[in-house]
Amino acid sequence: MRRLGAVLALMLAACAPDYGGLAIEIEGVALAGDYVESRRINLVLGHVIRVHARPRSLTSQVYEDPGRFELLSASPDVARVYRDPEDWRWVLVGRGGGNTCIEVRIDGKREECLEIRVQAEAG
Amino acid sequence: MNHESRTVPDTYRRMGRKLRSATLWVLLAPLAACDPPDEPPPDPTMGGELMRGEFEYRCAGSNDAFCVDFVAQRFPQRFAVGGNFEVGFNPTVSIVATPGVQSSAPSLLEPTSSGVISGFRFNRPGTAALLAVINDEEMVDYLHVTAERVLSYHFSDEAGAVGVTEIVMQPGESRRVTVEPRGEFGQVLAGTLEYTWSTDEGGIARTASDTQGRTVQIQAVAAGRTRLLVEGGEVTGSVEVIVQLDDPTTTTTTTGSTGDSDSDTDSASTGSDTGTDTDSDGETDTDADTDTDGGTTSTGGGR
Repeated sequence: MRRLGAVLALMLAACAPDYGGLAIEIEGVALAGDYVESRRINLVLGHVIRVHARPRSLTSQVYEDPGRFELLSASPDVARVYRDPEDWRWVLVGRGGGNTCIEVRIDGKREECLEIRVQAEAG
Repeated sequence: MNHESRTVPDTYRRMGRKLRSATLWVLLAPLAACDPPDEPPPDPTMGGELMRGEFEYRCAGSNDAFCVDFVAQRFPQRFAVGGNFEVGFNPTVSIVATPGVQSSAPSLLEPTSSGVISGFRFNRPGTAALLAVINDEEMVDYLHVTAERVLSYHFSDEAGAVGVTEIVMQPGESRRVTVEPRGEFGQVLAGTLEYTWSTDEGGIARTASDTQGRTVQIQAVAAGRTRLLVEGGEVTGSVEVIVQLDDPTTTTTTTGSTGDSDSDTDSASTGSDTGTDTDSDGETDTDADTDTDGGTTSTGGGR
């Protein structure tokens, strides 16, 4: 009976997506100094970017429910994250100079934290 | 019989033509009464970058070069550091709640009041964004705006002269002088600034009205030369005031911020008009769209 339960649990796990990183890219035009790399974001103080961000899955199952996915700033005084009305879209705001990270949460569980640097405009 | 049968339809046809013509005139008369508008109505809005609505520029006071009688004329391209302004947001898509307007970076673009219409002031040069946000968590739209320091002033007088650097008056005469703050490329900067007007020598000409506004009334007292000074936005600008007893000609001198000087002499007695234009450096104004004076870019200078 215990073996059967374990097998069922394994089967269920195989049917669910497994977090394998975040696919993130800027949508539209970014101002000079604003860019997104795979695990790092750079913003000029005061600038705003809109990103398309969707978790990758290590299994054949993909993340389909955007409501289960959330981006949260570890320090809203440095960078703020706003939900966009469109699915999988978020707006990042460089609010104050400094470094912080953007938490990737799925079903409330923190999966990783993307580095973000906000720096004052050059010159 | 034949004669009558031809005449009656001819009469009806003529009457019918007259009736159609009269009807046409009645229909066209209201259109003829509508004068074509001289200028397009003010449009102080700018579409957000997510295209979900329009940000609307509003006047925070009377000392804003983009406002006439507290009505914003258009959405500014550039803002003056220290200038106060207000912005509202009008959504063009269906949304659940009215968004408030916030600043992306309060240390740069300081909020002075918040709500559906919010007040702001740039603390230093740079680019920040106006955010239309619902419940502080959902972004409806945003718009980047840029501020510059005021680098020069552009004087104009009530006679319609623009880019005035010299005002010639007779003792007892008074004149209204208005100033526009200008940025690096000569564009007009938006926002309500505080001004302080004065003259070097009150015995020659003095300010004769409220000296906190963008417009001041000066009064010529006695013959001589002095400077009318305006201070605001960390810059002082000046215009030469010449008071002379006998003034057969009225001279207005303008100097462009691009280095162009323009001297016009109008003879009051003969009605003749001579003009000379001198281009000293040929520098180009890169933002003609923001020039409100009809194409003449001039300044009284600043320091």
